[in-house]
Amino acid sequence: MAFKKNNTKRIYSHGFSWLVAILLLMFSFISYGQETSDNLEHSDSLELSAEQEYDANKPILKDEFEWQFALDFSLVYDPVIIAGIEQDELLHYFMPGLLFDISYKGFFLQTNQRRSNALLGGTEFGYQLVVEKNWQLDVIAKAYMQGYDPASEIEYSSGDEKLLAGLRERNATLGIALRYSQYFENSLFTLDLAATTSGDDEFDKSVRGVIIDSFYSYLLPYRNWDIYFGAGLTYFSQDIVDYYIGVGSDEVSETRPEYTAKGGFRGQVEFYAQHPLSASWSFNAGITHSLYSSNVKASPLVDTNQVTQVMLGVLYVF
Amino acid sequence: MYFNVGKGIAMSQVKVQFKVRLRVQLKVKFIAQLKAPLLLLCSLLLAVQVNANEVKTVNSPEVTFTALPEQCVTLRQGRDCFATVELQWQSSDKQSFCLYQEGKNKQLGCWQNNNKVQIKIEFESNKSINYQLRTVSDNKVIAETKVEVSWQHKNTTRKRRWRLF
Repeated sequence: MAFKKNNTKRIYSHGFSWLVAILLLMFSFISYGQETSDNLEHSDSLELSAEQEYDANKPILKDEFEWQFALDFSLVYDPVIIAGIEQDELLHYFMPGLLFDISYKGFFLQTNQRRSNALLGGTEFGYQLVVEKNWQLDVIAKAYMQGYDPASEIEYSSGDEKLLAGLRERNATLGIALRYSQYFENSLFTLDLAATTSGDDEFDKSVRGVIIDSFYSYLLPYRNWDIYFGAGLTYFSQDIVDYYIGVGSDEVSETRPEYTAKGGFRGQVEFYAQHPLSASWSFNAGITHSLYSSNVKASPLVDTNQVTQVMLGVLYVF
Repeated sequence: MYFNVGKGIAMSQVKVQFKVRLRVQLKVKFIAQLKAPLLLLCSLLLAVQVNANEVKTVNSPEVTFTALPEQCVTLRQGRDCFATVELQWQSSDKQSFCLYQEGKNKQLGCWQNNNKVQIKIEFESNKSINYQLRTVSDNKVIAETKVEVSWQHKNTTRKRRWRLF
């Protein structure tokens, strides 16, 4: 949910390469037994076993320790709605990420598996409250929006000084949410009701708000391809929107009047495809178009209320 | 919808039977686990990939029967895997064989007095499949080769959500 571009995010990404190396070393010594269909007598019995396990675990799916790691090597075109922030260097398009999915006894820690540059920013920590066959209720904690640091944008990413100078840093928005998931045959609907905090405002007060995030994703398998179509609608309460695109009295300049933003919505449509290249590598590509409410465009900090993000890369699955 | 680990290994098992009831079984199993430091990761991965693409070949004076590719990889366990597989047999002498999928009686092809044959088939299965060469005269299995199905993500009872940005 890249509402804003965060230059520090990129810097951190490079700085976290050592973290990737350590995690790789740690987990390279643990591995699931690699399996083929030969290891299983029948897929039917496997499904039965999974069903029995599911029943035994209700209402909470107390699975044993399971993990998955993947390295993401992607090129990402990731424009933002804030004026003066551009991807202008080749390095900014390369967003490697460590994707993981760890669960134990109802707890889970997972990154958004399709998102690049998800070392820390896309991580969700949660607990399964209720697990039924077709629906599920979780409590989760995650960063719902990335922040941005105008000073870093100017210094490290050729951010437009005229537009960005004098703006304070915006932190990420963290939230605790109830997530309802409804499962269908080849699709999934999720609804997050999140209470969030976005750090301190210019008066050192914590900015709190509400985010209601919904998303529907449909899987269309075609031969060895997984093709997903998605659509989402998200509501951001006024405090949150104002924190990111409002102009405080201390940020006013000749070209930047004071501005108080209203709450707003974001609609998204998404296409994503993945194809295995070998037992470990897969190709993936996706495109997401986001359209924000028209009132977002009224902010002096914003130059557009719609962006299209594109991702193209390969995944290595451990 | 499910998302977990469980990649396929490169495992091959080839059985060859000769006309004179000389039976040879070769079983080769190797499990590739990535237990290497980061600096060796890339080269190790490449090595694994090369192994996975090797052709199962049994060199015998009688018949060589191979499948290429020998492994079909799908994203998730349980999903049908699709591939165009080239099956090839050759022998030192001209012989007459029929090609079968193990467990099925329908012939995929028959050849009279040949010593080298290639055939392409459309593979579609969620399980590994053995292919057999049998004699036309008495339906004896002369050679077998296998196309294995593996997957990148194992099915689990825990479900995951999908989203790009």
